Amino acid sequence: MRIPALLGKVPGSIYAVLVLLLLFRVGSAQFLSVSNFLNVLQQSSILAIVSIGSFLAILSHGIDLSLGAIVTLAGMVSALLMVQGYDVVPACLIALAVSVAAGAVNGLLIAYSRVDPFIVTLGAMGTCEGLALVLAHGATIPATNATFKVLGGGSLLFVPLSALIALASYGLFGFLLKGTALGTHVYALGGNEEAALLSGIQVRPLKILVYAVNGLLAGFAGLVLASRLGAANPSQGIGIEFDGIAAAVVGGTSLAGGRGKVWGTFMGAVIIAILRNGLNMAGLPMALQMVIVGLIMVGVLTLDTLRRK
Amino acid sequence: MLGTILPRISRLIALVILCGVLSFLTPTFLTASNLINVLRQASLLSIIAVGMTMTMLIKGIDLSVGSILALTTCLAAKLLVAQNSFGELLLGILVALALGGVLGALNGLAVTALKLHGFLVTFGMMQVARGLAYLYMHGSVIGGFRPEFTFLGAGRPLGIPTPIIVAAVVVLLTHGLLTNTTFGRSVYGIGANDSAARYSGLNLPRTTILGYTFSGLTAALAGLLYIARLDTAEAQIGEAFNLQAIGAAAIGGTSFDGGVGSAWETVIGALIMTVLANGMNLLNISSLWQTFVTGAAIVVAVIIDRWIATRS
Repeated sequence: MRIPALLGKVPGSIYAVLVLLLLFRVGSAQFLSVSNFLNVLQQSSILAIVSIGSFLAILSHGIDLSLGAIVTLAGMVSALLMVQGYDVVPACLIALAVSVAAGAVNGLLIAYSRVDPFIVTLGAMGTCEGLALVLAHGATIPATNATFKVLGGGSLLFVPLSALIALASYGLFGFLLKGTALGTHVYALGGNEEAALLSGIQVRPLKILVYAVNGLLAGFAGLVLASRLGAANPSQGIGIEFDGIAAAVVGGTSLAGGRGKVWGTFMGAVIIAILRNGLNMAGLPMALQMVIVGLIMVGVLTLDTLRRK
Repeated sequence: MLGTILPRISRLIALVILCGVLSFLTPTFLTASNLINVLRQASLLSIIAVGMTMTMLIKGIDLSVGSILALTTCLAAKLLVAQNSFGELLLGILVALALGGVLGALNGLAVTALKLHGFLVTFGMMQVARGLAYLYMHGSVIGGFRPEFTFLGAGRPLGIPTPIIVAAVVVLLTHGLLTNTTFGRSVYGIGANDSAARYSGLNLPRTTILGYTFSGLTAALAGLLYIARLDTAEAQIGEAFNLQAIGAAAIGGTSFDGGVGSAWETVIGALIMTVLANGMNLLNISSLWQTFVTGAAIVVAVIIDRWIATRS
């Protein structure tokens, strides 16, 4: 294989990471330090976990706009239960159960009413965000339990626990999607629903499963976020669903469904985390960061589209 | 007979029932002043939502309307203040509208030339335009516009608030554009079936670019009416409009697969959303519940719509 062809095989996201690393290396001396690397890992872990959900939805030819709202809701439910005197474990389990339920309702509606996933999950975004608001009366609820704080702030051999959890999740989903029939079915569903149905795949239960798993992932990310912030407020997850979609797509997932790799999504999530972190360290104002994130996203996507021709 | 008519007017019936229930629950709902208030609130949303409908008809979506609204009005604001002449005011309005059209055209160009989905392109534009608005304003607020301009937002010729009149004109024009022109046929053609439309000689890239241009233009126009009413322009305005406009179009029956939807049905969607919010206010339901109810309403409306459509 000639070198240009080989270079063409490398996803655009890898180039983006290299360019960003170089740029920020020049811009700030601290950027390539070990402590900042761990910091980026920790910051990207929440987005990375949520991005698996965005990836799964897009892979199955859907989309999930409710992830950010479920992140908020899960954090809120766990914090409220702990304030009421519940132990950490039951509080977290109930919060996860609520998240799975929210995701499963999405899946049920998408599978049986045949309404577009965009609109179902847009509605769920409103209802879950609204529930978090109503439950907490619009206030911020502290979550300062020492055991709970380990989830977002603890570390194992200097590596943040949340980063380990994120990596483990990617390992698990990488295996599930590549190595099991279930994974093949998800790809088939996204590629061509009609064909998947005709080849005997239980399309409806599969859709419900995908969105329920999304609920679980978002709920888990919500617990990590609340733990790291030491509080739950009714808006802390807003917008993360869009970063998740951006991560999946920048990582090479096709919006048409059926094509993409979960580790590509990981690269996408890391790019977005590096961008936000690096631009912060370079001292750029928030506004300029938004402009740059938008331009780089479209740039990477364009690069990938042009090369696929 | 009823089977063919019912799906077409089901949203109208839902709106009438909603109004009926509310006028039963609260005496203030069915008063002239409240109804005009509802229409005034729905007018901005309607203008943005018909632009959104246009992009959804061509199998796209526009997530950048809120940001385009903010950037265009912020850039024009300095020309609109009371210290300036009437000529500069007109220039300001032109600048805002032209810029809205250009930003929309850029969206459309990116969609056609780069073959990217509208969702991604306009998501990028959403960030870029909002960021530029923040950079330009630097946290400042520009206000105190010329009275001719604030009249556009707060004036009441013949007792009717100006935004309602502007919205009515925009909706009628859009309706005419979609139903009576080659452009309109081309829009529905793309949505119904890309390749058939291409073979029948419709100019698809041009239609796509024009569709997104239209959406940028309506966003800028709604933005002008909005800052005219507030009498201030600032970088963070209009953020909620993206999802509200998508919600209005969806409740109005616009399909995400393209080709299905119309201007007047989207307006009914916008009215349903506005009446719901208004009713909850009148009934003293905590504003905390409004996010929840809006989300639930979108899903319920669309599901009922699907159910009726499959029945008949």
